[in-house]
Amino acid sequence: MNRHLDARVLILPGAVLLVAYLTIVPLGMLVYGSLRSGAVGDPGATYTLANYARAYLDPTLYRLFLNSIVYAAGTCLLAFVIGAYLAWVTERTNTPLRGLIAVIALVPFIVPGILNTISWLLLLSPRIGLINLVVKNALGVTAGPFDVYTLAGMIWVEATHLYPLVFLLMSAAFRSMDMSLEEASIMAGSRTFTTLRRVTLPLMRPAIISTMLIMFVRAIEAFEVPALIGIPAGIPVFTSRIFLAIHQFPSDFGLAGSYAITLLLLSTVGVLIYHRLTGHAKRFATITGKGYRPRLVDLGRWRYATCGGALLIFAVTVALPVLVLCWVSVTPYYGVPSWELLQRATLEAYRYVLNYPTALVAFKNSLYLAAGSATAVMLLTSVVAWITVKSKFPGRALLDNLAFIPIAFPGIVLGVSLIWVSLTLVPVIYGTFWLLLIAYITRFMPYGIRAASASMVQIHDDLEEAALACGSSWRQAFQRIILPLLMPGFVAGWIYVSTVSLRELSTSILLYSPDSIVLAILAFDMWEGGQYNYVAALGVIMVSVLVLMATVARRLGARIGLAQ
Amino acid sequence: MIRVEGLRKAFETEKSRLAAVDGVSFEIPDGRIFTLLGPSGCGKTTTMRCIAGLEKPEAGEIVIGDQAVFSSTRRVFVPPNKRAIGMVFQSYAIWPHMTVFDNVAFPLVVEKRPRAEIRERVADVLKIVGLSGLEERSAPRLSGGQQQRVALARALVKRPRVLLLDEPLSNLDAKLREEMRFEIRQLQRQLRITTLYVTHDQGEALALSDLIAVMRAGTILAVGKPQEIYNRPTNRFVAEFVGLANFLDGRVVEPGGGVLGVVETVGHGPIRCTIPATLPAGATVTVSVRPEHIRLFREAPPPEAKDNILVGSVKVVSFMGEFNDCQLTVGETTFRVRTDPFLRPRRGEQVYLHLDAESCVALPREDR
Amino acid sequence: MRLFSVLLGLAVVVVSLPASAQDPLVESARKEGRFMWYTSMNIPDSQPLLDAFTKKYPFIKAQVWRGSSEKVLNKIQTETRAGKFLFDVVAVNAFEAGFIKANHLAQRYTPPSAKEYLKGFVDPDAYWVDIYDNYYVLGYNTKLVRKAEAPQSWEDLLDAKWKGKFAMDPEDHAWYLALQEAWGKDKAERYGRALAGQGIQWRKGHTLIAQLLTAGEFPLGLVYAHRMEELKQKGAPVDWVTTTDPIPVEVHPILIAAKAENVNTAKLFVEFITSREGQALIKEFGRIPAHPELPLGWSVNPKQLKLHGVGVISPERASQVIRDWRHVFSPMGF
Repeated sequence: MNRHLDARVLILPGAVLLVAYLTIVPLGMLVYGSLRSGAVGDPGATYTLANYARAYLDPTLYRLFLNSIVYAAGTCLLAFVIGAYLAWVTERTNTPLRGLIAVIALVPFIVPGILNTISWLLLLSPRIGLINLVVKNALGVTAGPFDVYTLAGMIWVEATHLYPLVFLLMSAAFRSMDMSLEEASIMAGSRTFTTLRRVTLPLMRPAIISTMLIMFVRAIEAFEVPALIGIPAGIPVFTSRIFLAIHQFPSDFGLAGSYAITLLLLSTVGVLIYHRLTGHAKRFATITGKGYRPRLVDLGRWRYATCGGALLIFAVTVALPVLVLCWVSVTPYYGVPSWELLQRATLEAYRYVLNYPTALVAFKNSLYLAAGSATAVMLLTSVVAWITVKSKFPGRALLDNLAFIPIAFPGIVLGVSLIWVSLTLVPVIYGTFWLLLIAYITRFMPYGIRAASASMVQIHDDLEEAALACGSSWRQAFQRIILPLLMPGFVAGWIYVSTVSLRELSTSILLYSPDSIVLAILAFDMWEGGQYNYVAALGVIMVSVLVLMATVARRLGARIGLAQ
Repeated sequence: MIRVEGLRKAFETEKSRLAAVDGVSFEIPDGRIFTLLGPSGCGKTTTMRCIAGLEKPEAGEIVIGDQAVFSSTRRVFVPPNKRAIGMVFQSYAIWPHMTVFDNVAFPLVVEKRPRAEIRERVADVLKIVGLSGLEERSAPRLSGGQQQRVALARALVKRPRVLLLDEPLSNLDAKLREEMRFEIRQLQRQLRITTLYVTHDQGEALALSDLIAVMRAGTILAVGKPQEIYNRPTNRFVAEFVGLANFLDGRVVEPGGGVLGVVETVGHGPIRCTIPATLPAGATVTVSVRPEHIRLFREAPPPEAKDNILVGSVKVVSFMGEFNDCQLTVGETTFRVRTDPFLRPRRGEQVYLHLDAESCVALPREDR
Repeated sequence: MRLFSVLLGLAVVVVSLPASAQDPLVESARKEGRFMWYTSMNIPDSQPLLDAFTKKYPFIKAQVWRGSSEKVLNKIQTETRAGKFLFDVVAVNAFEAGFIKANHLAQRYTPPSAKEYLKGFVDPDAYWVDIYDNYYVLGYNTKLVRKAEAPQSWEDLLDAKWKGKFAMDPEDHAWYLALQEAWGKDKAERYGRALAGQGIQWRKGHTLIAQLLTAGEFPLGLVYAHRMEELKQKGAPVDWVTTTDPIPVEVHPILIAAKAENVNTAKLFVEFITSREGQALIKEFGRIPAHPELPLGWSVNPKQLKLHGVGVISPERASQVIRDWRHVFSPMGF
């Protein structure tokens, strides 16, 4: 019927197939593994429901469930409040130092999770925590007021680590919002904060729910905090159980899989709720062809207060942990800061890290992987978001869900499934950079899809249809109209994916080869090698490099994004 | 030429299927402006989007020029970008990330025209719409009228066979709207481009159309030249939607066979009016008469106007500048009448109404 | 400092016995020209070992893949089930080595230096040889606990004054296995339950425990002896108890893949790493070599310690120990 073979015919099914392939294969492995009595490929294994029975007939399950939900929900809310506040301040108000705030807001994210967690142990531990010591000395009390080894402590540490993601996603959403809608509210006589509450936030519902969803699932699958704080605190969550199952001897992927299925169900429910709440996507289309001018809310004298609030957040959530990191990196062993220990200060750790074997290869691989996976993920998920938001294809909600599924894969399960698949199907890519790239794309697709679809929802249909009516093909319209308009979300997702990919460990460790080693593996290696100060030094170096990258990326993002 | 035949398009909602376009057929002769006029939700925009290729109809046929761009029987669907159309959206759909030049040049850029040609043609079309000199302006920083012109320029720049205008003036203020009306009309004449115009504004439709199709609930109720539609409406909806009309229910006592006959109205006696041949004696009808076709007398009218006289009292008089808009109570019915500004009836005053028989039209009664 | 020791190690290698050109193993290895080593030894230790090896045999291209023991095992298992033997040599913790041996993923080989090793550090079935050891000892913070007051035995930990003051890793299975072997299952279990009743401070990772012990978060912890020695040398306020009986020693064996593609090179490497020169390098990294005749330079002579080697055991046994451990200690909050 159609002589002109449109790129759409290739790109759309291509994207769908790619997502399906990336997701369904490991998902199949996960489900299959959870139904087998032995590991995948084990000749003696049979089909069984025993794994589920072991996982779910446990009388302590309700506690586990409750802990996980409270922990994830608490983290999600706290991270959201902090991140959304910072995003609003930088994108929508005339608060001083906005540019600086926007860069610093990304730092917690760059600090490797394990270091961030340990920094907080050293700050908030009841005995040796610096903050507690300071308070004890200042007030002359015997017990410090804070205890990190509690559920509240876990939520705090995780939230201070995750809020940059909220900041990124919400910034993108604020940036693409038509200000006339806010202006209308102000004209209707409402005050700035009423406008924020009654107009701005409801309009950004897709972005907010998207962000909350990611936060929730991200917190539920987080590992460092449950391991380093949850275990001493005696607060088990799902991830500790999965960890325990993997550390069975030999690793019990069946049991881990059974738990992971719960994560999967939780995230699926999340996606369904998202679709229900944002079902009439057209209502949220705030980038229209009528033209709008981003406008900053004039806070008057309050702008110093908002600036102060942001700086206070940074002082607590960025400066303190990074200072601890710096302190640790120059001391031969950890001790509460003292003159005596300061005299032993040394840059040995930095020398060690910089002379580390294969450090250069790892650095190069990590950078390529970060940029490659971020670009691939965002391009792929932009197309997928177009399908799920703009098209009317049947089953598009399913596709959205599909792209979100990998969020529930325990990293090591994904690793094992990729080993299996690549060795049996395409052994050439085994151990290469490309297999790692595939793994990263799979793992980070869920973040990309949320960022891309929240932004896609904001683009009015007319803008694309106008391009088609102008005689452009679908591909041209996508490339020249949709992608540029999507840029704020694209950049936010890109920054996120590239930074988390620098930290990815649990999948990479199974898939790398000496030629494709990455930084996170070196960091973990140093950690296991027993020297915390080496890891801290690496962390300080990574933070410095990435702050630089983030600054550049932000400049770039502001330039290719919508003109402010 | 655009020919549309038996077009059908339904939308699925969560609970039901809504037929947005339900068997629409019409033909637009070359070089003419054809207007789809109707209230919101009548299917006019959907019809246009089907012609543009932005929606895929379920049934019917659409021919642009000599090319069938859609045919359900022959399984043809030409995608929008292969249809040689120019379209202006209600929201203008100006791309906010581009300058005026980039916006207008886009259709040529995607056609991969040489750069020099693009520059020349964009300059030409910007001159036509009166935007010369604004090439490098960023699109969101234009005024409403300028955005409208950019949208028009973008639709025209690749010299399409047909121009589709979807409520292009609805976002402009009243003054600008009237100006643009004439401009569009003039532009269309000048370029002799076959144009489909969608609007809910009857004034716009009457002012700039060669032909008007009035739509309701997915179907076309009437097609005709503006004068025909206005003066000889074929049903009550058309009479009511296009302009103002007063209605008197009655029964045909003397069939007109297409010219004058007599209707015995309920409560107002016999009225001479134009009765279509389709309405035989005894048919229940509604007589429609427009406010400007009623003359008002403060005293009993002269004998030559003894037919079609009603007596009423003045309820409200609004001064509208070039005329007075009066509301009168005639028996149980309220009449709208236009009088010349020198005749200033007082409230409560008894007046005589003379209905011009030629301009009264009997319409088949619809059960409402 | 460390760099210097590595260089010193390299120097030792260079001046020591030159490779015999007549050795048939060397000739076969020359034809293979390469091999792959999977190990849980960290890179700064494993890479110099390989460098020293390839310096000695420059015709060999040596590659190392590094991950923690359970990851190494996961990788090997998955690869071999997919029908690929991509590794030639593997070095992991004792439990994982037991699994590899039991599942026929390794082949027999006894390097020449094995005869110098003590019993328990070489497999009687010849599948593995130990390359270095972890001593599980009781470490303490000298600012919080004076040497005279420190517990002298495992049993001393049950004293009420140490309630809530002792830290362990939730996966100290090898330590518990040693207690079971040395004391018998019943005594070990009674002791374990009593210890669990003391309110153990669980912390994930021996690195973290050593770190927090140094910082004073808790006064006592179950740690690796060589880590304590290293910290002591840097001036950290820590020491360890030498009188506990037993001191569990976890071996770290090396094995050759059952279907090693480069089997001769693999043998040559195992020969190198278990030899005096390879072991001397391992000592330079601050680890405890398996070779019994290398002085550690500690304040205490290991021969005076009540060492109890935890050898390579069957997977069934290992699983049982882990079950027992979890049953007694419930370390993950269940």
